[in-house]
Amino acid sequence: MRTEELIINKMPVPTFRWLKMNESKIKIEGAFQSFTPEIEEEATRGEGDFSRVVSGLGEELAGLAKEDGCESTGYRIKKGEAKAPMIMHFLYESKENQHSSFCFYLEEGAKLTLFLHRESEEKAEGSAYLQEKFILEKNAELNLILVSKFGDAFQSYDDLSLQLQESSKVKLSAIHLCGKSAHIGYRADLLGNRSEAEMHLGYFLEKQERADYNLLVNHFGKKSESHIYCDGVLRGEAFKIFRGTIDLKHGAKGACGNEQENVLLMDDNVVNQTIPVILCDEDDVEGNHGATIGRLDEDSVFYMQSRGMDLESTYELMAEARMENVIHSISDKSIQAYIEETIRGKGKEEE
Amino acid sequence: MAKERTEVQDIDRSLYDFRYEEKDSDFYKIKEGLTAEIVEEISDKKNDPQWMRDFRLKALEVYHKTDIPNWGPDISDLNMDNIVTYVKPKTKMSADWEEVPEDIKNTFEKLGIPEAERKSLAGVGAQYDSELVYHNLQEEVAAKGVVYSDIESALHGPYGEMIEKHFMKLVPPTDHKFAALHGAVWSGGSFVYVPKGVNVEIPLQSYFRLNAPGAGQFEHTLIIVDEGAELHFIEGCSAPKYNVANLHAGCVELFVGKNAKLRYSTIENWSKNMYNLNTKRARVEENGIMEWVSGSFGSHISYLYPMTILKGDNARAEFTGVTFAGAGQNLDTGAKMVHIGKDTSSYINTRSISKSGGISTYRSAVVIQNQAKNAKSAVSCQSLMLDDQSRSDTVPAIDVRTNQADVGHEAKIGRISDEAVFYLMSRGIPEEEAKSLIVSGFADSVSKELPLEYAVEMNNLIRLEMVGAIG
Repeated sequence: MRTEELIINKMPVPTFRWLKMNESKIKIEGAFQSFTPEIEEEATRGEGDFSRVVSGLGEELAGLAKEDGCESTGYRIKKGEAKAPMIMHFLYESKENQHSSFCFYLEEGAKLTLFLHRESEEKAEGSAYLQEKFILEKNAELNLILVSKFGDAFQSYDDLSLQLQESSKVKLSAIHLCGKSAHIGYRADLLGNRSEAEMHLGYFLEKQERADYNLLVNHFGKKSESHIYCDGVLRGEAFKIFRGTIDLKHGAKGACGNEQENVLLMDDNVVNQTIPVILCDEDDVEGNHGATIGRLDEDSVFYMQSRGMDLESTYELMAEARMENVIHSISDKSIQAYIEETIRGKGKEEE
Repeated sequence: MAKERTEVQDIDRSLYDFRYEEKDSDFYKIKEGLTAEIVEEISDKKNDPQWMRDFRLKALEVYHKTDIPNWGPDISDLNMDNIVTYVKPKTKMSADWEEVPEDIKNTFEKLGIPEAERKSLAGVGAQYDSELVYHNLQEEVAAKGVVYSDIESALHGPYGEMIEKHFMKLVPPTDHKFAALHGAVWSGGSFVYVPKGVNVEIPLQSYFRLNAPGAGQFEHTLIIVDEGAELHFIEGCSAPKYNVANLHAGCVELFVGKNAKLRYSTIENWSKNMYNLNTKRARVEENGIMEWVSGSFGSHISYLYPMTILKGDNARAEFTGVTFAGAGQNLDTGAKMVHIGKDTSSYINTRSISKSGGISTYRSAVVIQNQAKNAKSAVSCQSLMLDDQSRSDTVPAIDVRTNQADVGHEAKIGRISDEAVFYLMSRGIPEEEAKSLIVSGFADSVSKELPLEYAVEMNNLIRLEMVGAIG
């Protein structure tokens, strides 16, 4: 059986080695095999040149799946098509290296709402790798919603890459309820002027769950904008690393990149690593980052307790509120309701 | 219509770039490169005790086994085979400026060191290339039991054991390649011991001047502030510019005792051919306070991230720094805070300015270990880009391993805000003056932390000339 040790989620700019935050190392045993999800309201299949859309997790892993003969399914969305949300439901069983890959080409002015729902059976062991590539032509709009909820012994790879041309927009809302480990690599190249990426990420980790994030937004286009909001909750002995990079390239005049991360730490054995990077090769730009990490602030606790709520209930409520932030960023109400139902009870099931 | 940019002049380096013509006969120079023979020769010249001889040779082994960092600015042009690791002026260290050779004395006069000593310092150490040429401590401060001497004298005196106990214990040679290099070839630097309960009210200062072309300076500063004691230590450094690379790989180790306080201020103004690969680290015991104030203006390439280990409960640390990267400079600076004790707190506040193709990187690490209950940390880093030829990056890392902690971080990169200029103009301030105010104010939170005379020096270093208008 083949065993490959790979480096994924490599930071664009490394830092002190002793922190061990520059990249992640994984081991892939055996070959990748194609997995086909259930699809509702499937868009029109079609081709596009995705050779220049770079993987979010890293080309090494993507290349391995390709070597194993895993094919990608292509879609081409025209302006005025795909009015109803396209839904992909991935229900994984106990199996290693399940692989799916999709490429979406949104023509000028096209709009697409895509809902990716990934889950495994509760007792499932194994792993799954999802790769999604998007090209958005001028004025195209993508509304991408992703929810993943895996069993305790399941490992996942979530690889997303986007190329945005002039005035195109992507809005991403992603919730990760991770399972044993989740490696998440998202990359957006804002090539066109006035292109925009808005990302709302949420995670709720407990027990020994591990989440490994690497987000990269490259600003090439003038007046391009990115906004990354990440809200998370860590319980038990959970581990999370969040690498978030905004790269303001030379010539991206008037560009603006914002990043905000809030992490609620609920138990004493959690580990939170955060490395928010701003790279700036242009003066007429703005890059901002903010992070708050820790327990609930005293004012919030006092406010809730003065209204009769005990400390534990206060924490539960605030943890739910973190996920609500992401859910409320989803404009489609039916998907909102579905997700609320799906993730409800997280953190309470074992009590 | 194109926007005309605010112009900020380069730092005036004429004060630092001057040098007297020197004859080789005035100096003893070890041959270039790095071998066991060279390290042993340094030990011979310095009459090292046996433990130090062994230490140097072990450090050299570590140096050869350790690779260069795979992060940070490119230092592949630095060839150790071309660096002279030891240059000794042919003079003895003196406690009287009149006994210091004329040209060396004049160099320090121009840098204002004797005058500063007369006006506002309790003690001064002046290092020229690899050795100290002047060291003095006010009698009344010495009478309190304060020790301030060159490290070699202390090594052979009654504090020899104390030095052996502390030397490169905070920064072991295995820390990184240039810490190992330092361990092998260190020379010069200062030793300070402030006894229990003693408050040194007037600052001490060491000034490091690297005058020889193609040379390295590897001074070691070891400061021990005992329980309940207090000290402000100032470090200054400069060098004239040469066409060959110079290297500074100094090491600063600071031990801050229970209830003690240490402020360590640095104005670094190396020449633009200098590789500044310096390591600074402090360990703070219970209720102790460590304050760093750092101005980085010079050098071709800098790697500088003072680390504070908050070991004792309720220990505190602050780092305040400004970095100004101009043409040909790649300054990678920041700070590291490691929380171990309970109820510890840290604050990092930095400002970076990049212009004329200069590269400024803010890099930091805040680590809160599991036992550091109720730790608090805040980081604020702001960067100002003055033209589109320059570059500014921020790479802050945060690692929190307990839920009983509060960590906040904010970073901002941009140029002079049009809104701020408009606001000031709407209140009657002319545009050029408004922009000048904004740039000056940007570094103000740092300069106000410096002693007055150094704040003035810093403001002189960042001399502003405003032209043009927003089109």
